Amino acid sequence: MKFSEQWLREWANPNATTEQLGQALTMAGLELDGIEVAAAALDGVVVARIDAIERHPDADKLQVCSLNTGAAKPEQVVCGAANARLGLTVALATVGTTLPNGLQIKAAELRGVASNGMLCSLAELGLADEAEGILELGSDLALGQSLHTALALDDQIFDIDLTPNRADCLSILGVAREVSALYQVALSDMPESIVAEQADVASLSVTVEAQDACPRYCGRIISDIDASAETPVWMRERLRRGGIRSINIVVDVCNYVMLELGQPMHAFDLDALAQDIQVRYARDAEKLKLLDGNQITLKADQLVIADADKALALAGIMGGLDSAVQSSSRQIFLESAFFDPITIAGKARMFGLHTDSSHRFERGVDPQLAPIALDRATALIQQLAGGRAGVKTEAMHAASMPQPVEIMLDVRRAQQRLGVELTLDQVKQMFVGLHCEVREDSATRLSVMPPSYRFDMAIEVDLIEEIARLIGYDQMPVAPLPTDANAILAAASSSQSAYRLRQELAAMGYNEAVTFSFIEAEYAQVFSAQAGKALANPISADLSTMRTSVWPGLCLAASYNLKRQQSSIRFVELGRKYLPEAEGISHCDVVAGLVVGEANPRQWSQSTRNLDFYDVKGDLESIFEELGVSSRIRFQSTEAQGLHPGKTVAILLDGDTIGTLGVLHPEVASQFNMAEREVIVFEFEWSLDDLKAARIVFDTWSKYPAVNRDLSLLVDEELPVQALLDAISGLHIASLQQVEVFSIYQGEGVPSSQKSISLSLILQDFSSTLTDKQIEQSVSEIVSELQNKCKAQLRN
Amino acid sequence: MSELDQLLQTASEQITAADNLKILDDIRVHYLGKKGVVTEQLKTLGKLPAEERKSAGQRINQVKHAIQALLEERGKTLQAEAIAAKLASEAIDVTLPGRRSSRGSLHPVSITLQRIQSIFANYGFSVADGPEIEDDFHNFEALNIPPHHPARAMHDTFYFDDGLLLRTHTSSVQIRTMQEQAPPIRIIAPGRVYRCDSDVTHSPMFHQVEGLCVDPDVNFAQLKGLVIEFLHTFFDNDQLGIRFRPSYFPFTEPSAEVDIEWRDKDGNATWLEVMGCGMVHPNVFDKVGIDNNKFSGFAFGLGVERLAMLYYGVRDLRMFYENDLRFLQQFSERG
Repeated sequence: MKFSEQWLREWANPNATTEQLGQALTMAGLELDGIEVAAAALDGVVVARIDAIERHPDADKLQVCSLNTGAAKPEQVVCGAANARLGLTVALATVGTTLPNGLQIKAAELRGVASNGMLCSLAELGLADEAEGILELGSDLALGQSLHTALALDDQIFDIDLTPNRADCLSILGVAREVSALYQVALSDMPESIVAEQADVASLSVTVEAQDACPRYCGRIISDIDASAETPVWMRERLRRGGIRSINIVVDVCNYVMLELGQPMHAFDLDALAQDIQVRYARDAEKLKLLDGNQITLKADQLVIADADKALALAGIMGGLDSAVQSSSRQIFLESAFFDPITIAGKARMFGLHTDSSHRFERGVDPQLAPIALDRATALIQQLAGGRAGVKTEAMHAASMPQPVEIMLDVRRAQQRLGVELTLDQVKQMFVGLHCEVREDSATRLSVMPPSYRFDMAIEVDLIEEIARLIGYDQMPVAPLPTDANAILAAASSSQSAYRLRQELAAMGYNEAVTFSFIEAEYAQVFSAQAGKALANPISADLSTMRTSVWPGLCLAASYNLKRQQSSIRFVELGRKYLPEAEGISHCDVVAGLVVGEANPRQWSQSTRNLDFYDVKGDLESIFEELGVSSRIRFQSTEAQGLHPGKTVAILLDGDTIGTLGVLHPEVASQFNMAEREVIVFEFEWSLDDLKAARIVFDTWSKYPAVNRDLSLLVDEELPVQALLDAISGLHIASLQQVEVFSIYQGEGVPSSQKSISLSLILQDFSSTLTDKQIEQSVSEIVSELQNKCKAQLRN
Repeated sequence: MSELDQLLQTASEQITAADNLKILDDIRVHYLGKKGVVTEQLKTLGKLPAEERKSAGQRINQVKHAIQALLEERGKTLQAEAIAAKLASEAIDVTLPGRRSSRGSLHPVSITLQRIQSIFANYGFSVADGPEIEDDFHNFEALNIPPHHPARAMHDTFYFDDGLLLRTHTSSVQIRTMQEQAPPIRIIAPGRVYRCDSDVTHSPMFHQVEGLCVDPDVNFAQLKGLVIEFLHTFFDNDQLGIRFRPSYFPFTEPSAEVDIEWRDKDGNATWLEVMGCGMVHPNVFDKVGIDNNKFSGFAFGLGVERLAMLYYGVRDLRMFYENDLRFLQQFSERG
């Protein structure tokens, strides 16, 4: 909320500088967003009066004005404004002035007539976005005084960011109450509004059908007004400093009272109304054209102000265009009501609206304020636009009005929750200062009745918060949090495992990425037959569907980096994918990776090669070893959507599939602008439990020499190596320590459709040195097993 | 000059002239070998009369030792030269760059999260987890944010057609934890959260850490103490200015916003909001069945990217999700 500091100080004026006041508001929970000066300095702009005016001899649209600036000699200025006329008090920018828009005023001749200055509009003075004609000042201003002084422009605009609980501060009065309590300075009295009600002015009856939604509705007709009257500059200025544009005198007064007291008001053009006022819920599909020109279709839970025929306004949110007050309006019906916050809440948003009125009603307007504000606005309208006030109509449903609550405050509990020493009397004085009714219930208990505007004070803890606020959060004590040593150990281990995996991957050259959890709908089905869960209100089409795989995000990230000349990419992301299930959706934690490009950084002594499937498989083998699960992991040839059918394996842990490793299908690679590239991706599920490092159990080794025997075998080229390894391990030869594949060969010397595989066997016994005979026996056992199971032939 | 002196001089000249170890060895054999010149001289001693034998023997031996010494010295020199020559031939350009493997990196959000987790672990806060696709109850209702509460408007929630939503804060994990676990409770809940908002300072997805402490007797002063300790440790600065000011969160009361005093390059200080916190609201305890008369609690929440931006000096929030390697590779655990 924006407001004028001057205006606030009329209500409560602490001995504090602007900055101190702003700081104090922030520290009281009324966060200051900023302070700006109300107007530019406007040096050289003075109040002057047009004492003589005549047509420019050579230009139809120009007039030559003689201006009285209080000095002996008048100034002559040529002016083109249509509203320049004899006797008008104006703002004169004298020669040498620089206006806020940068315009420099120089002595000039306009079509042969000397002009020493310029008569300014509000826009030229930087006091409005646009303006028609020159500014018309009140005739009571002293001539020759600076405009800055005359308009009290020496002011600051405060912008405070109010939390939803502090609706009571959405007005000058509300902020002043707060300032008065913080600084213990006097709060000005409410302005006196004497309204002489005329019995002969008609009145409208008000029928409130929705009494719970509108417990109180006040209204009054004002007839014979001049709605074309200019809003005085002082009021326009306060509105402007409050961030509100001047519309016409009636609307301006309504907004002024809202800024001043916090009561949103509305005025209807009485001539547009058919009979009496109803406050009711909308009829289904009822139409209403709002002030902003939008035609809306109403629903039955939306409260409207209506006449006998039709909806006139969206209650507490925005008026209708057809019944809006115009400068031609002669008689108006002025509304000041209390609407139930819950009824108004959320309704404005249904139409994409957020108005000063809805903002206040949603959060709670003082229910006692409606008649007071009505009189205040009536008096102001009469003062500024004339008119005769009718008798006030008030419909109040007492049972629906917010009831004052008595809150019991146990001072000991406040002490315990806040960790601060308090006395009953000290606490009592705080609440008295907040205009609460306070009674001592016992030596440690107070009964507190908050004022009607404090919607945020309903239960004991609300009062405890006020105590903290009035003491000042920074004045509140600080204490250590006692902590049990065992809890520290448990907590420390709870955060370790996933991070260890991240570190391990980084050490292996992977760059950890974070991609969005939502992706384009189409991408969600690149690697999954199932569609992803779609957002009802996505921010854009490319962030519209929950990912069913981390790969699309990584593909986009890889493609982004390849486009920026990166030659090697190793991405990993530890994140979730979201898989729709029959019942709800499962969150699945995965480690996902994408690898493409050169295997090593370019270096003078090494030739570069591209990363391939086996690089990444090796990385995974290392990771699983580090996690202590490598003996439980198997890779098994498979096919998967979006991946190359001949270059894909499933990753199994204890026989259950936990992930996939493969190369992108060429079509998918080109879909992500990585055509012709070998893009390797992997993904495996993990849970924190899996990652808890298995306890290491020491294993001894044999002190007898190990023997190495190499076997070169010819097998069918389609035979997976795993078949050979499985056949060998199926023999359970105790002395066989290790089998390694050290060469794969196809070509000269090997029959076509076959391949040569070389295995290195390491044999070692724990109880003795192996004899040649024992070795030969083991080797021949292996060879014959491989011949039987895998049709392998020993080469040479 | 005697014959022996002549012999020594010749030997000396030859030894000095020898330019490799092979030649030097030939010289040694020539003079000192079994049939060498000096050896032959010694053999002639027997033919001399007994009284001359001793002095002649001494002189021959002196020459022998002198030659030996010269050989040894020249040998050392030649050996050193040979090694030097070999080393010189083996020299490489040590200024050429070495062979490296690719360097990986941790995402700054991960590093920051881990730092946050380890600091709070020192106060016994364990990591807890919850779903990101949430229901209204856990994200709003149980946190004292009923339908139409104005606070909902500030959350810009992403919804699904079935009424579920993307959690707007990790505060939902508070509720799940209190539903499953009896007090005392100390948890922090790191994770992704979502708001329907996107510009330089807002991302539709970001990370938060929520903290919760429920105990028979915790108070606001202890919450302040914990938050101050955390911020001092996180920013490695015990002198960091910290202020608490009243704010509003429906699920805590009293609620506070925490600002730190931040100096720009020119040394100008401003207050920057970094955390929210407060005492758990009694309505929240009611929703999860914790007795307000037996327990009190506090909760706090912080934006991970926000802290990471301040700590590392990153200006644009969007960089965290672009995954530009030029960004990612700058981050490691060294600090």
